[in-house]
Amino acid sequence: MIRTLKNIVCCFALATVHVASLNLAIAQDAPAAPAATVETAAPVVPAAPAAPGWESLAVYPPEVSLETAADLQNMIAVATRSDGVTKDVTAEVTWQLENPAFANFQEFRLTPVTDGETKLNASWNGHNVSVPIRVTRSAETKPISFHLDIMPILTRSGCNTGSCHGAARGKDGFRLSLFGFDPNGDYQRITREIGIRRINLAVPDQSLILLKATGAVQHSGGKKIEPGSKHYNTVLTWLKAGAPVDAGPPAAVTKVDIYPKQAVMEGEASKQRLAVVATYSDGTTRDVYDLAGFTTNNDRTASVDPSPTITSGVRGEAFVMARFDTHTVGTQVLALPAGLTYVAPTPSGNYIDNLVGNKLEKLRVLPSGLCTDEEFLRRATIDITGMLPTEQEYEAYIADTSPDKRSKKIDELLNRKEFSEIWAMKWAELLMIKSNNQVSYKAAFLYNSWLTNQLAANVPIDQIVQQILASSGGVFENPATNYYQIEGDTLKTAENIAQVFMGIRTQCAQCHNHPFDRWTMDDYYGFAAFFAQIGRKTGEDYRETIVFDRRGGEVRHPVTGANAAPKYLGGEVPDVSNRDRREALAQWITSPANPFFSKSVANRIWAHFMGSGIVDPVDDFRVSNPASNPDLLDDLAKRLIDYKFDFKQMVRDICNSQAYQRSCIPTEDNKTDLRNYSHASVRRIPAESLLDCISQVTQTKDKFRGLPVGARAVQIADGSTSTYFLTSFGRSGRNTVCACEASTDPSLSQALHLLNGDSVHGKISQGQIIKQWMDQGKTPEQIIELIYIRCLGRRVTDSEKANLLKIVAESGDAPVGLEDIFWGVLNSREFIFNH
Amino acid sequence: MLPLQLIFRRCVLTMKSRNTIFVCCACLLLSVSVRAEDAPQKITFEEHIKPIFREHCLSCHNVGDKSSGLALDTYGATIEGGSGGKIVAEGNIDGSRMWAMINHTAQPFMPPDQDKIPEPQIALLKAWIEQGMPENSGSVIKKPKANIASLGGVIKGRPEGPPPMPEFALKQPTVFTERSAAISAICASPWAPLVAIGGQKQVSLYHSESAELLGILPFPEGEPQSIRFSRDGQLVLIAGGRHSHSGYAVLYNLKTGERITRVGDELDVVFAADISDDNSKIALAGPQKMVRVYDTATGNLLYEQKKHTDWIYAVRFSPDGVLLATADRSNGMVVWEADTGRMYLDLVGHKSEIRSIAWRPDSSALVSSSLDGTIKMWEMVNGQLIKSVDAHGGGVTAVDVCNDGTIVSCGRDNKVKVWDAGLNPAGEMSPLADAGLEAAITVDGKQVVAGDWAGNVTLWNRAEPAKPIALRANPPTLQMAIAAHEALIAPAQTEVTNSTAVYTTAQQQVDQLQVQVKATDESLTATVAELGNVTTQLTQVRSEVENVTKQIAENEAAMIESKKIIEQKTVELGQKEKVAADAAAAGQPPTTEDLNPLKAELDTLSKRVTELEAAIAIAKTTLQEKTTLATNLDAKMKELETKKAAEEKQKTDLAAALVPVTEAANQAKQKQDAATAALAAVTSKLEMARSDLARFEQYRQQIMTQDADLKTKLASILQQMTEAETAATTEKTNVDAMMAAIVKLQEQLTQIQQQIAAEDAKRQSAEQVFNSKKQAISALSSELETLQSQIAAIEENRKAFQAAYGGN
Repeated sequence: MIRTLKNIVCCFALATVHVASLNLAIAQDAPAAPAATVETAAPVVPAAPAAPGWESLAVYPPEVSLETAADLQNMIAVATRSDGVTKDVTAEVTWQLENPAFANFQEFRLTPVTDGETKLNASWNGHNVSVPIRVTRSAETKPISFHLDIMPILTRSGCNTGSCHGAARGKDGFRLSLFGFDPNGDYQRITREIGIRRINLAVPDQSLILLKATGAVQHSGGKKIEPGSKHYNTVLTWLKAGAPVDAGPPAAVTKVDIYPKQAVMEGEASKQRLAVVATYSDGTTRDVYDLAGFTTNNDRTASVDPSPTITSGVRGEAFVMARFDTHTVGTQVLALPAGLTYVAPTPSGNYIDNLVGNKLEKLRVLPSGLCTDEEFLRRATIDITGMLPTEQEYEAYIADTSPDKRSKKIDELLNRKEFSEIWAMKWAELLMIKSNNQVSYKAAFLYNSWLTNQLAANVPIDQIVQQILASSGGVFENPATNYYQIEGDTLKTAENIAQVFMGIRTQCAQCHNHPFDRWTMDDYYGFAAFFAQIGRKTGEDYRETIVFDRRGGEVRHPVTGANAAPKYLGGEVPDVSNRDRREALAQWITSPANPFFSKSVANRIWAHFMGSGIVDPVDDFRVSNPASNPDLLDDLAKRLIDYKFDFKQMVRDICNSQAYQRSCIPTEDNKTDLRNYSHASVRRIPAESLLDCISQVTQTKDKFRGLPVGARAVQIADGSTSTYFLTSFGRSGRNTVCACEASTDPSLSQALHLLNGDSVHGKISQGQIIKQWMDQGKTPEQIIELIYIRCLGRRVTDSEKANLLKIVAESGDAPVGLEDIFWGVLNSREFIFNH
Repeated sequence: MLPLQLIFRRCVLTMKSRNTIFVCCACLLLSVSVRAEDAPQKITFEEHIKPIFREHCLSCHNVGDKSSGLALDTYGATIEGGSGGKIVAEGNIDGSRMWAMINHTAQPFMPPDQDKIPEPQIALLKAWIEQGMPENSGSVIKKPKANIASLGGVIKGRPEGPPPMPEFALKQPTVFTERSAAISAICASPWAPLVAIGGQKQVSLYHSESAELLGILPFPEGEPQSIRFSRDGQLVLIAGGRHSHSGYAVLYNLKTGERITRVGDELDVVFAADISDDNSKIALAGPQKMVRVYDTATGNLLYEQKKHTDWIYAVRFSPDGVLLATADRSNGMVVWEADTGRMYLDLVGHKSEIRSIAWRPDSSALVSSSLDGTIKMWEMVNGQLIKSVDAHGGGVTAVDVCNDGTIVSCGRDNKVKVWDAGLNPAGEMSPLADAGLEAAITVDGKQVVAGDWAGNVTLWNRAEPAKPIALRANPPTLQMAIAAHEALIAPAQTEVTNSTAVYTTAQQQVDQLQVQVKATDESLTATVAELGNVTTQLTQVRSEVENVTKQIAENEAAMIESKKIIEQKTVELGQKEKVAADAAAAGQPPTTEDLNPLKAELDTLSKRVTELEAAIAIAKTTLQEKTTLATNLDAKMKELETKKAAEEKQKTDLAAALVPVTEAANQAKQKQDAATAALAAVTSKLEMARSDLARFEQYRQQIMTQDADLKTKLASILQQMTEAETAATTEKTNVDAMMAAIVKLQEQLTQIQQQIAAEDAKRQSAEQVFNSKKQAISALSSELETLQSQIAAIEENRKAFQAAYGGN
């Protein structure tokens, strides 16, 4: 019998470990929810809405400044309908230049004529917009600048990407700095590295740089520039002028604007032109439509071509980005089916629900209904404590009829010590608490205990972080110093701190400016400079490292060769003379002046309960990976500061929100939504909690190194302590600070281990729980009910019960049959997932 | 090329036909042999040689027995040779041992203990070897690319006679560009005062002493990246090409400017190439990371090496031709055995890309320069680093060594430095305008040339390192030079005219002054003479006055004396008369006689006084006259002296005035001379440019004519070919027709034979049938006989029955 069942479950487990199909499976298995506790979403009344009218017209860029003779500006016009839908009306607008003596307007493009100021009037459908135009230095021809004109062409044409000449060793003998982080070096390499090969000033149009780019001679990268095109002529003009180096430092790009900031596109294959304007430090502006690179994070919903124009696709949300110089800017694009009827549900729930609701309304998505009490109890218990509700808890909760029993339950769970243990473990993962050749077990243990105690004592996270970052002393005496023992490399330390406490991955910027974010090498080395003066020496106990401030030591910028001055990431350069640089940094990181810390912490908390971060992955905040709901993230971050980083309060807010309490069953309408919390997500229980849950339901005890028998897996202090079960279920190896180290991805070994390993079968026989129940005189029916409540947090359905009783009957020996059922339940996806 | 191909095609065609039809028709064989006589038939191993070997050699030299390790049954084994080495040398009958043995010119004679193989077969073998030993009809016969004779005999030391200098007509650049690109190649002749500078699609040759452009070598393949002179300085090897497109090395005759050969067919440019000491090999390399060594004479690839992991920047044969050094962009430097291509040394030490290498003239040391800023010298026995110097900050881009071992280098620090043979600093030239890229040192280290990134080429005499002389990598066209010179002529002429005018004026002034001086002189002379006269006169007059005065004085003295005497006498007379009177009175006798003499004397005396008085009067008159004269003369003398002084002053003044004027005149003269000289120079340059252009045009004409002639010839040959082709086609058609006829006939024959066979079979079967029939007949006949006898018997019976019963 056991074999039969195993086969059944084996097929069951192997066939699908997939969220979508799981949803269906659960939907089918789910018992009818007690009507009293279920709130369905507000019914969608397909009332015939009045045909929405065109509310406004906008012309971009909102003001135009044309400097020098060759300047130009492409104009776009966008109309917005009362329901938020936007439309590119550039070609429909009647354009009128107030005074054509100053500028020329053709093909939606402004070019200068003579110096002066005028206006461009656009009128469409009764709306009128006027854009001021200023023309200056119209008689002046700007010489071609290598930094400002040639470098952007190389970047736009893709010459300096990592797969081409931007590779560390270059390509086919020619190297450029990756995405142009080193323009001076690129100038040298293009013009000077090898005499005549790359440029031929005698016959400029025979320069290899042009012949290769146009594909006139064999070029691995193919044809990148059209002969005779604007870019080609720019390069040729520069070569004809003798390939001069820029006179003086060139103006820096201070900002890049993309227009429109948001587009709500109706119907597939509708188009939206983009306008991109860069502003330089000398106050000039430039239309960089043909110099910026354009990408989209969701090609199916919104594709972008280099013209640049967005084309809408299937319903959804996309982020279209323009990259110019070191700046990446994005515009949010929503694609909606044409002729969609949608009535927004009445707002309900707390502030989180308002913000989530706003976003769903934008997307015209209706949320799923609330989950059942049974589902809520199991979900919240697992999320908050990492345990399952016991039968007693279950019964008590179900019996409770008070309307605020959910929030009462949340408060109750939050006060359990398991809550702080889960978070201690989560932070321990990020702090890489782990013994190894350098770090003694004692140090790791002390570090973990310290962290656990801090969290248990409800010390706000900002204070913990301050203690860690500014810590000095021996790793035994002041366990927070372990942070600097675990990672000894200055640059790595800086990278880790940015990633863990600010959610920013700066690694790219070590060797080149970040290709998809704002971080430059200057930022990177400026930030690393905070850690340049950490001193380490061995204490009296050879296992103890003493961390101290050396008050000396610098970080060198590899391109400029100069010492980098300590500079807050994205912030100012503080005065750190005669002061521990880390103290200054610790204060800044946790201060409200740092926009990243509170967001990062809030996002991590959110992700734990909601299955995905508002920014996801949670430690990858960057321009090109925007928050799915920026308003929500801002609000959560703000509140976290207001709560003085008491994240119990934050958890309370989240768990009390309808967004958290939604059913995980998607509707036809919201099934494609994965990032906007229109329905709950189904999540594999993390490895440690899963093991704890199995031990809990089987009433068995585990033994981990350095901990007493019966300690739970979440309490493991040392990251190097693991079991086969924990490792195969994706326990964090604590080798890096990446949140991705702890994985809930399915694998075959997980399924096989549950089926055939000793974790489930061994524990069932070890715990003897069925025998105990039998001894207590419980009937198989009662036992099956108990198993269901204990493991799945719900009552068994009649059909399930009938089927299972049949199996018990068929087994001949009731305890064996029941053990098989217990085993089968523990192997079911309903058990190992939180839903 | 075309005719040859056609002939080959024809041969192959006919041979194929021959194979197909094999035994058929004598007339066809005849036609083949006729064709074979027309054109050199391609002798191949498979078709012609192997049958000879099979007939005479294979019994011993087959792959099983391999007598002396030699097997001749396959082409590969034949070429490989036996235990004694190769037996045939491609295209070289004298170097082919097999032929010598077969031809009985070398022992052991082959085949052993037998007569020589038949002469026609020996001739075939000879032809085969000379043709380059093609394997089969598909093999390409290699033919020499370069005219070996034009390579000339190689003199390795200093050539006798005048050093080789360009003597050809081309001074016309193929391309003129407004500005020069970064300098990519510079080389100095090892023996002549000559430097070669690479420009756009050409190399300019300059006299290193006069900085005069001597000629242009066109390099239509692209940009020259490397220029090398042969050991004797007679040949120039230019390598380069189009970047990322094609690369070649082209060998030129320096004197005539003729292209001798072109080797290489790279897919990227050639960065470096060199020709071996005996001109037999050309090595080249570039971004394709391969060192390829070609046979100069045939253009065949001798060997190639792919050890380098990055672009190869430098390739140099050692001056003795034994070694070949190559260096790359990833700090790799390898020395090869030039003949075999085996690696000899791997020189490790540079920390950055190696841009340039050069050999010391004794071939025992190699000098290399790298972007790590050092120049290193390596010995060639064990490849040890002898010396390393930090030469140029930012990197050393070029290094060159001249015949006395002096080294020159340039680098990214814009400097050009000279080093002695021991790599000790030996001077520095004035700095370049931009980063140095190429440098060379002329014969015996007299001049240094360097080129920079901005396209400037600078020449220095080493004696005057601060005096740069600019050379152009992009010399103007002759037309432009003519125009430029023509434009210079008018101003030069104006200058001449102007300076002449200035000079003339100045000279006139000088002349005038000189005339004045002369007049003054003459006048002065006259004055002086007159003064002399006057002085003489005055002296004379004065002496006369003196004389007269003296005379007067004398006369007066005499007169006074005489008067005194008269008085005395008179007194005496008186006394005497008184005495006499007294006496007379006294009566004494008068003594008359005593008075008379006295009276006579007194008379005489009185007379004399009177005379004297007269004389004095006369003398006084004279004296007065003379005194007046003297006074006059004195006045005149004074006057003359004043005049003289004035004139002398005038003379001094004039002389003083003459100096600047003369100076100015001289200067003007110099200017005029200079202007004239300049005009002459410009004119001569113009003339030279014109004549250069004329020569160039003539050369162009000549080439065009030659080309036209050759084209005409080619056309005529083509015409002939076409005709021959047509004829051949006709012939072919005939042959085809005949073949078709033959095939048809063959078919018919086959059919007939088949028919015959069929008929024969039929006949046989018929015979069998006949025989069987015959047997059957005999059987039947016996049966017949039996039947007949039976019939006879029955007849007898019937007759008897009829007879017995009557009716039917």
